[in-house]
Amino acid sequence: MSDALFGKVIRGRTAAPTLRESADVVVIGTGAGGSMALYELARRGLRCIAIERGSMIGPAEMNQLEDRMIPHLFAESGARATVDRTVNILQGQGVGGSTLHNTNLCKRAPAPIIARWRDELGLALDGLEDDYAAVEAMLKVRTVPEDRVNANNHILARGIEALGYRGGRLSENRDDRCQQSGFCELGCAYNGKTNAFRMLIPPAVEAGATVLTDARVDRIEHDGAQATSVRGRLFDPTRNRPIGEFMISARAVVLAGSATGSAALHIASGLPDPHGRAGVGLHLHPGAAVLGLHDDPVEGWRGIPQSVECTEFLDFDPGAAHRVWIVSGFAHPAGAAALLPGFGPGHAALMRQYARASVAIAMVHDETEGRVSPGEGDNLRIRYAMNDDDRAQVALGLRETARLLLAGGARRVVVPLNPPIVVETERDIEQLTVDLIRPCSPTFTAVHPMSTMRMSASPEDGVVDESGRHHFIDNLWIADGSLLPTSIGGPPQVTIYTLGRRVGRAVADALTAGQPAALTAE
Amino acid sequence: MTRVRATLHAIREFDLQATSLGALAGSLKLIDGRATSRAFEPFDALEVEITRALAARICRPSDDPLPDDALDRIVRFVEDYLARLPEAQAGIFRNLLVVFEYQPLVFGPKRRRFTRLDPGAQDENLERWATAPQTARVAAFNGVKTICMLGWYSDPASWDAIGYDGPSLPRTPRPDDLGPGADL
Repeated sequence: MSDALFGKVIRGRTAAPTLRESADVVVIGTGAGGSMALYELARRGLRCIAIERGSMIGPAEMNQLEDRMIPHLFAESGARATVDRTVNILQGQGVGGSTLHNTNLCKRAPAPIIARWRDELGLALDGLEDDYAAVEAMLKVRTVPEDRVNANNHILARGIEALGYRGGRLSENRDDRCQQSGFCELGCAYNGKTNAFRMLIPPAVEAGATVLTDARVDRIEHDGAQATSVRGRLFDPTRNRPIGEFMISARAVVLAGSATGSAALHIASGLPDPHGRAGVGLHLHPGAAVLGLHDDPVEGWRGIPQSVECTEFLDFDPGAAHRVWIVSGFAHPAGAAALLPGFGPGHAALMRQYARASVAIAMVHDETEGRVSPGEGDNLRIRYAMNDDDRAQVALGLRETARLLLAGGARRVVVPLNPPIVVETERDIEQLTVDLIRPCSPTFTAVHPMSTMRMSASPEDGVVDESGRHHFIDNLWIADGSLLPTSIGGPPQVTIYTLGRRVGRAVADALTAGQPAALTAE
Repeated sequence: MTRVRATLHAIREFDLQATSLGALAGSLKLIDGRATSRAFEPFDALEVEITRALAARICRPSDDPLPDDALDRIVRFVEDYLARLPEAQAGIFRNLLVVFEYQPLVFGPKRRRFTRLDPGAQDENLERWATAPQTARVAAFNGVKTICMLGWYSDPASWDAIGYDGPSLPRTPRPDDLGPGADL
């Protein structure tokens, strides 16, 4: 790597029209997994270049406006969806990836899920608990303090208590810089998130890492056994148009472009996949929102958006009768308007109750397996046809979410099916049956895609081993949500950070020990 | 006229065959690649007219029409938003605008372009999209609605009516020609 790039964040516009470089390691993507791997590699003295599709957007640029922030913070400007447009898939872009816009929920993968991975895929995962603990300490993970639970979350908590359901407060990665503004999903203007952008990128750059922004990797070059370089294009972030190209050769490649982007790039690059495992097995953890209407103001946009969960209907055994995680949630006006049913004055009448509305979301620990393949540029082809068992879980989730909001004090509840259903009584709740769950009814949102290049002991069962190392390309590792062999039924960021740490250390060990030998650094 | 004929053909194909928005886009691209090739160009007059008419019905908060300046801002937002989308996505959306415009001309009941229908008939037409048995039509309507709503409810002019007080830490936006990020 040239000294001019050492320890810097470089915009694609600056690097254009052509960048040719070499490094010890190229890290593709700077979300939770990529940033953590980058941090681990840089602190071991390896010269690394991280490539980020989005821009470097700091707190001073987070202006809390949906029309300005959504196009910059979300892949495909927030328009990413399944090919039939029935599930909206919100994935981050920008230095820090989805940790820029997520709501900072921290939950480890449940023990029964880890046990299943061990039993079915031969993963040992030794030391995983210690790695979780180290990551949680680094990110200052804590239970959301009681005095930071906002009105919307108190409604869910009251419902949980009234019904005697299992649930409680969630854990978060924020610290006292957080001003409880509630704008988490639009990026934190106060830098209160202890996320990849704040906790990992600065020390990695300080240690010499380079971050190239506004750059998309189009192909990982390889010879069938070794990755040799990555090629891609540089973009003007103001209009999102290509303005140049780059090629970076490296001794090793860490692919961390998310469960959708990484799998698509794997396929587009023609990387070896004799068992057809890349891009399949996609879990989306799809969620559907339910709206409670109250007599008194809730103003759910103020304060920590998500701090309370209901786990009464969340079991982890395969084929479990209950696979629904219920969590509070809220959106700013434009996001809320998109989810509410109808249009025109009828829709506006619901919007006029925005300040007196509560929202909770039912997310399904899904067994449906979708598929990712390359599309045109950023526009990936994501197929996901929800199976009947998961549709039944959606119906269960809508019923129980409605029941919780009513028990929490809502006068009535709007379930945004097509057409919408208003719920006021127990009898109304029981009418929310599986036959009402159809494509676009409700509109699903997914923020936790997983599992498209899973870990496995055997090359027949997955794409990488448990260190994240590719089964067939010796110097390629994967470090994102692709790795998770199944849905984990909750927010995956802490697990992805943790796996990123393990991957980063494995790559560093391999390179500093001289393995793999005779790599292709220029 | 070529574009009109192609669009009419596409509408028939859409109602008869499309089972997904992807299928619609594919068929439209075969018939009329122009929209995709224009993905990064500004709206033409027809696209402005259609977007404005759709936003006027979708976003209006009451029986009173939205003010002209609010509609202007929504149209500008939609245009800017599309310019940032991947080319394929932007092309689909621009084709969709034309489908929305000519679909009522073909299928009635009043046999006029969307922008030439009276407001009540426009609402009835949009309601048919929103509640159609075909997933692709509902998804198409949801896509148009989402972008228009993003434009309208990001406008401070819409906030008083819903009791929303806006950003807690207002900032001066960076100039558009600079874009986000910095070399550090």
